[in-house]
Amino acid sequence: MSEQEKTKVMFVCRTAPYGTVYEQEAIEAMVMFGAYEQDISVSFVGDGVFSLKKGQDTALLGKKNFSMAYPILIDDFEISHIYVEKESLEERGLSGDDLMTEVEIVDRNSLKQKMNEMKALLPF
Amino acid sequence: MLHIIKKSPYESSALNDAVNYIGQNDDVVLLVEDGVYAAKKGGKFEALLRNLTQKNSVYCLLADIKARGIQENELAENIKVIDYKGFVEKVVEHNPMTWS
Amino acid sequence: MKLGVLVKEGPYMHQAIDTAYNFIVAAMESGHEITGIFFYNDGVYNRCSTLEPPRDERNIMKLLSDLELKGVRLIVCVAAGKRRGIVNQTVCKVEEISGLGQLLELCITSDRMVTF
Repeated sequence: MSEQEKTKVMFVCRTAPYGTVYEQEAIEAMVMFGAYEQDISVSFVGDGVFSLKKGQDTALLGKKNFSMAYPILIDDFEISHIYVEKESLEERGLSGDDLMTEVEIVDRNSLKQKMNEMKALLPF
Repeated sequence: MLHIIKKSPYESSALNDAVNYIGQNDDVVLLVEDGVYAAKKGGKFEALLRNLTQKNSVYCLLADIKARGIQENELAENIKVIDYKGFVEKVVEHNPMTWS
Repeated sequence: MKLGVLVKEGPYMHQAIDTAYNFIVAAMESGHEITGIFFYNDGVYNRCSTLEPPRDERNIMKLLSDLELKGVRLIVCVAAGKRRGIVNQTVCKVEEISGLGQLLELCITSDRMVTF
């Protein structure tokens, strides 16, 4: 399938992990979408950036550590891009070094432009 | 884009997060459900909305303001009121993003 | 225009399905096509067959089934449903249960996707 024929869909993740199920079920959707050879990207805005914080250990919580999925989303699950909003990171005292995987750190204006190119935006 | 905001700005970052993504020209804002509380005249978010309405159209969903006892004359300046058919029209005109 | 709908919240607790329902009715009256409603997260509860609201209250299950009779496709995510007990025996209609691929399919086939 050519790049032009692919549908561009972006997950916009705005919720922190563990407090609600949104992050977990967003990941399940990302993994599934990756299999369909479309142009799927993921962005983290606001509290969503906490999902990428490295060093997450959920043993005491008794839940799966969902963040383990992010480093393999691009290579194993065919997700095209993972974007993190720079301003949201900074507001929360985080930088690229605090994140568990290589992601594209972009400012609001660039992320906004990428959102404009999408056919569908799925907020989580 | 059509930015649909459905949470009260007093309890959620939905409005503030959305504002960062509202572009200069053809972006429009629709307040629905508890999101409509942002539009109350005299409230903390009136100035923010007044700023927004300088460049962007801002709409409130009629059913939601009525249900909450907010009259049209209690809304901040330049906020327009639309019904569900108006909501549909906005979605037809712009790609929607929901902020909750 | 072809409009797809994603519902992420459950009934009664949140207003999401009420807004979605009124939006869909208005869209159909205006001549638009609803490509489907995908129920995800707690949204899957909207299709729980054992919902039994008081008689004088709106019956969300019935309102949605009426939309289905008018040709609107209702899709309950199998994974999100199983996690919450919405399975073959507890869903309004077994045929409604399907996978996340259907959500992507809605994104592909609809001119617009609206999330409630």
